[in-house]
Amino acid sequence: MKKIELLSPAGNYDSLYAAINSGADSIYFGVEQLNMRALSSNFLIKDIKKISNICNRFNIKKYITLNTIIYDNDILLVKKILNYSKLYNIDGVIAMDNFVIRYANKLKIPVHISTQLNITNLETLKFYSKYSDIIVLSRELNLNQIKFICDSIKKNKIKGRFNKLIKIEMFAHGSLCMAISGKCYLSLHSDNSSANRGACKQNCRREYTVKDYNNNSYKIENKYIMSSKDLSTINFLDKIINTGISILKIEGRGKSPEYVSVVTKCYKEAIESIYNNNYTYNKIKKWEKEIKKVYNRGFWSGYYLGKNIGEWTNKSGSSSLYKKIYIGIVKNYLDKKSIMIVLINSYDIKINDYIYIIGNKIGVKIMKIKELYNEKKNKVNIIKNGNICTIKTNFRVYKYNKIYKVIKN
Amino acid sequence: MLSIIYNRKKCIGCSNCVLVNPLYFIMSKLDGKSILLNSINKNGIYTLKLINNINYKYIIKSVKVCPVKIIKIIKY
Repeated sequence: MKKIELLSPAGNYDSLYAAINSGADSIYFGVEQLNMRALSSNFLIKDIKKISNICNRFNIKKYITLNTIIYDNDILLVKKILNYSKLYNIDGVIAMDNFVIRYANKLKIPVHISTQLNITNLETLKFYSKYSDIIVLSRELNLNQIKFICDSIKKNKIKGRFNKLIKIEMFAHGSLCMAISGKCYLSLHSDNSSANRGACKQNCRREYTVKDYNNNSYKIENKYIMSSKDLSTINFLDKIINTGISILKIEGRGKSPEYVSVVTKCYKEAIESIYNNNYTYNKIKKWEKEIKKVYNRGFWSGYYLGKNIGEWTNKSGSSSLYKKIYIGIVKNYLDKKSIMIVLINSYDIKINDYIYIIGNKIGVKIMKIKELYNEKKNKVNIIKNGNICTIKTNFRVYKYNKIYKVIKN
Repeated sequence: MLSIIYNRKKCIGCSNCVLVNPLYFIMSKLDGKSILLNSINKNGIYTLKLINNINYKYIIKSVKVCPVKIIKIIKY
């Protein structure tokens, strides 16, 4: 039985390495302004080559997202991005606009139909199967509806462009939008900033009071009336895999590398344990605890289990149990002694602190500090801000990797 | 005297500035971002010094409509 593919987000090189090191089978990334995270840090066209080389080295697939609405003045840029993608063997393009789909078809790049196209039934899927290979279903479907679609693909032998059965991709973890599959106009109305051009200002995540025309304000339990909790499927992942989908997607190109690392690792372990028949209650509790340590707005199961009403968060920002604070930068790494020399330039560092090391090539590593040495090579318990210290590691780190302290939120 | 400062790297190509200030902005078909006409580029920051008798109310429109707030008007 072919294992399900775990698709992780890569918003920058740190996240890319974090995803690779945590066991992702594939990654997706966006370039320039034509993707749904135009406001966060993005790759440039010239990065396609480097990303492709990195992924080839680790033998994982790479997909490019090009799923905004496209205007006439974007046509040349779309062509340029797709030509580069073809040149550097990108494994697929996640598309919404018909021109992008058509041009990718022309270049014979496999197409993923984005969730932005809202595919909710078999007949629409049949229509798009002529132009694509993988279809991301709408996030509002429940598990029975997904299973029906997956079974029907096998039964009716619905094939994609490359004469293989159409694959189904589903969102497994990450933020949920209050509008249907991301098609929201709130941001455009309030800030002239279109969410469908990747410039969502997240109006739904703010606090609101509800008033009628007589200025009577309504008593509401939760002021975050539109801020949906995050989707998490780790506690019923076996049911998701049973539906017959092929790709499990994690949302979060705008999120931090440690989020990508922790979530990818937990889902990878969960997938492995399902295939090994040891997906147990205790393990689920352990993964849930791990995932709560990184950015989240509280979790619910989305629409997969057929809820009649959405669940809304009651907090601004993250409900994560821990957060990271920047403390310093790696100045050098001595290979023979396996120690790193760190310049502490913010806060202090103590014995028994947990630290994240984040950066190029390494992704995200977490470690507990057992020994600390100062500049004169004396063993100490604390290093104050502004000093240089030496820390022993059991993995390779690189110059300019950043050090963060993990503290309670 | 006023000048328009435009941080082109962060442009998302919504073309709102072109709509309200067509005298100063046009859309580029090469990369889908807008271009500040006759400006000087310094590390991706484009500057256009405006001469006298410029209608401030007219040029401030592009500052207001830009969703990513990358257009600024400053006095020099």
